[in-house]
Amino acid sequence: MQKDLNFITKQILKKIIMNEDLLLSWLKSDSAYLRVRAARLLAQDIDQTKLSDISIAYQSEHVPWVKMALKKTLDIYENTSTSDEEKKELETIEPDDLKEYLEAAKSEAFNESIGLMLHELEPAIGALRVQAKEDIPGFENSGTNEELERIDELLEVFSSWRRLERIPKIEEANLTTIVIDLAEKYVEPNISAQFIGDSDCLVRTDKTILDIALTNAVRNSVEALNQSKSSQNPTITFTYGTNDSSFWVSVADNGPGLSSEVGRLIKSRVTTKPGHHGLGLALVSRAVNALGGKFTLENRKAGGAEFYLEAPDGDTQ
Amino acid sequence: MKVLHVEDDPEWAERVVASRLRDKQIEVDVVSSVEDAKQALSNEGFDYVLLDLSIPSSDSVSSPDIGHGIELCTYIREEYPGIPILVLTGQSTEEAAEEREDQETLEIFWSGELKKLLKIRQKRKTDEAIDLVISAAADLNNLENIEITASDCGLDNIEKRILRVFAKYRNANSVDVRKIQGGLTSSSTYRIKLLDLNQQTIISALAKIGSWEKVNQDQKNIPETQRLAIGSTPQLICSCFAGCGKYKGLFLQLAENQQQSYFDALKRSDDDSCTIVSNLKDILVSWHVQREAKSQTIREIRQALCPDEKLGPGLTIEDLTEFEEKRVTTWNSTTHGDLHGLNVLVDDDMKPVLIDFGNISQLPSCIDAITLELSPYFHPYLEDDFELSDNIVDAWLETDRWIEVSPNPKTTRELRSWIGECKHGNREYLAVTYAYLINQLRYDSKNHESALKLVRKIIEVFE
Repeated sequence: MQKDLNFITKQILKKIIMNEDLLLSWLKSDSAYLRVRAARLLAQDIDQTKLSDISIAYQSEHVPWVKMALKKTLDIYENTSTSDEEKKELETIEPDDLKEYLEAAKSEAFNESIGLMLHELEPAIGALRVQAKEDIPGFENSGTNEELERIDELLEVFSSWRRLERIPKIEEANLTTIVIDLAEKYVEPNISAQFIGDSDCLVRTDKTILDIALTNAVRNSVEALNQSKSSQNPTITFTYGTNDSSFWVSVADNGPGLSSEVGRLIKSRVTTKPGHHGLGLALVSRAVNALGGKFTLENRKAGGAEFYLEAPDGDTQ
Repeated sequence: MKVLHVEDDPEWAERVVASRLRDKQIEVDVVSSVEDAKQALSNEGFDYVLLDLSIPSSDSVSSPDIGHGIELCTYIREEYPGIPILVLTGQSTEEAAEEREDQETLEIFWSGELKKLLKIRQKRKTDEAIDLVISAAADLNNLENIEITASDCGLDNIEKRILRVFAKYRNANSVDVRKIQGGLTSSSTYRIKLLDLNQQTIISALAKIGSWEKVNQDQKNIPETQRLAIGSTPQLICSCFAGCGKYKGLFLQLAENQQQSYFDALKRSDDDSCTIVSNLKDILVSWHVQREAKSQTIREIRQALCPDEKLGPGLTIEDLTEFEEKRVTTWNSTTHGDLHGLNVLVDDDMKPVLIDFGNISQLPSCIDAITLELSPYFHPYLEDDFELSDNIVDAWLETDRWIEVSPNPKTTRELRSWIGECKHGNREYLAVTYAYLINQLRYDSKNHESALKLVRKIIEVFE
């Protein structure tokens, strides 16, 4: 079975027209699957004029298996004396690679399904909200509104997921502005927000992706604080700063903390498969991965939970 | 208010959005492709656009794509910059659209507040989108409460809307409008006064209203005017164009006593117009003094004022070829470019304020004085009072003779001395006068024949 699949994949790959521009555009595709295919096809037909494009793609790649494929291709380009035998070896798809193909294809399919689903759900929920507002007296304070807001949050998570597929765009961002914006948006009036960090903390990263990772952390804290009405002076503390080549952000609350099970499970580099630890966490993990960083979510000794993220300042190298 | 709703699923648009807007007396047209949207916009005026990004380019061919929505968004921004757009997207937030929203600047909205004319709402928040449209419609209706007093101005609805948006911005209750000029070109200039509830003046302003391009040209040139002496050009207050399609209004501050123009003074008193010319020379010297010598053909000078395709009837390029091939040396500098008498407003002390900056450009410096001297014979405002008689045509090119026969000898002397300071030589004077006259021959004028005579005389005299 494995062998058949291997054979079929190879046939498909060979059938793809070796259109150079097409391959170069695949390198920039939002689909990890296409990027990995481009990397491999480019390795089969060496053309040194494409070296810089491959190199750029390698620099900005964040999906590990795609990065690996690009690295292989780059090695071949930089070492032009590659023997025919080595080339031949590359053409064979190893079972490991095949697994990656399937992983990438699955991720791509998942992503596409999310897109379709959002496209259908958004107007339906929009219509429902409009109708509910008319039908329910005092809609703003109704349970229906609350439930609709939960659905909104879910949709937001799905749409964030889609955004993570694209190649990160590194640009200057101000950590102070980012955390203050987040607090303004998500921290409710009954909770106080504290900020500890330089007032002008400039870093280079993908702001959208960082937002996705931190939004989740803030929301978790808000939820935890709201659930346990017992906390005195519910507070979320944002601490942030930079090291030599990286930056870090911590979002800590004084709520009841994580249940021990969750606390143990959620360490950095967990699988990015959706559904495993809840979509929200999978999303955070994916986002942090895309930034080339790592995160922890742990209980604090003083009580409450802390989300800590560290990522490279500048290129994700 | 009239809304265009562009939506891939028209049934949804009708059921969820349009029906509710119509309940509030808002007109809604629903179309479902880029092509239909462009058609609708060109057929009739819309005040507001609701836009789904995932739309087909035309109903019959392509499938829906965000790219088409972004394309339409760009198109509307370029063709109808004043129309507010509310993007209603089903793809959650799209970065391309967000970037666009980020780039938008704050403009004066119908409520008088500063707002972005492009907003994004997700379809799941359709209720917020509907509320936004309803509140915009209310703002637009409220604008109508501002009274406009305008005698003989023939203001159209868009012009009235632009004036009302400005009035709303400055919290005025009514607007008093008087036309300064307009009609010949695609823009008009008004002197306006904003009044509060007690009929007290809030501000006097100059309003330039016209096509987006025309008014933008003026606005772009404002920094140039800041090189001139303070007080010699009016200060920019703001521009207004929300909901005005292709049109825009530019508002500049005027002093209450800047009520008359150079033309008014010229008709009334040679002393006054002479003072104005002398003051103008002092103001414009800041531009004219930074000059550089340029050798160019007469054709190039004429084309700068009147491009080939705009040559008046009966004038063909062949007629002019031989003469226009001659070269002259000119002193080029920044110039006003259209310094006729209505573009010079004056206060009681004959202190001039220049207006209309749409033609500011690098031209032979003497063009400003030449335009001022010839404009009474060609501008509709004074045409009946100033006739370019044979007597004048004969004398025009000889300064001393012309001063003798001029109805305003002091002003004439001052103008000719100004021209003398600006020009590189007499050939430049002749070439620029020629170019000015050729440009005037585009328009109907009772001095048309005499202008042609003067042109022939210039060609004769030119050595």
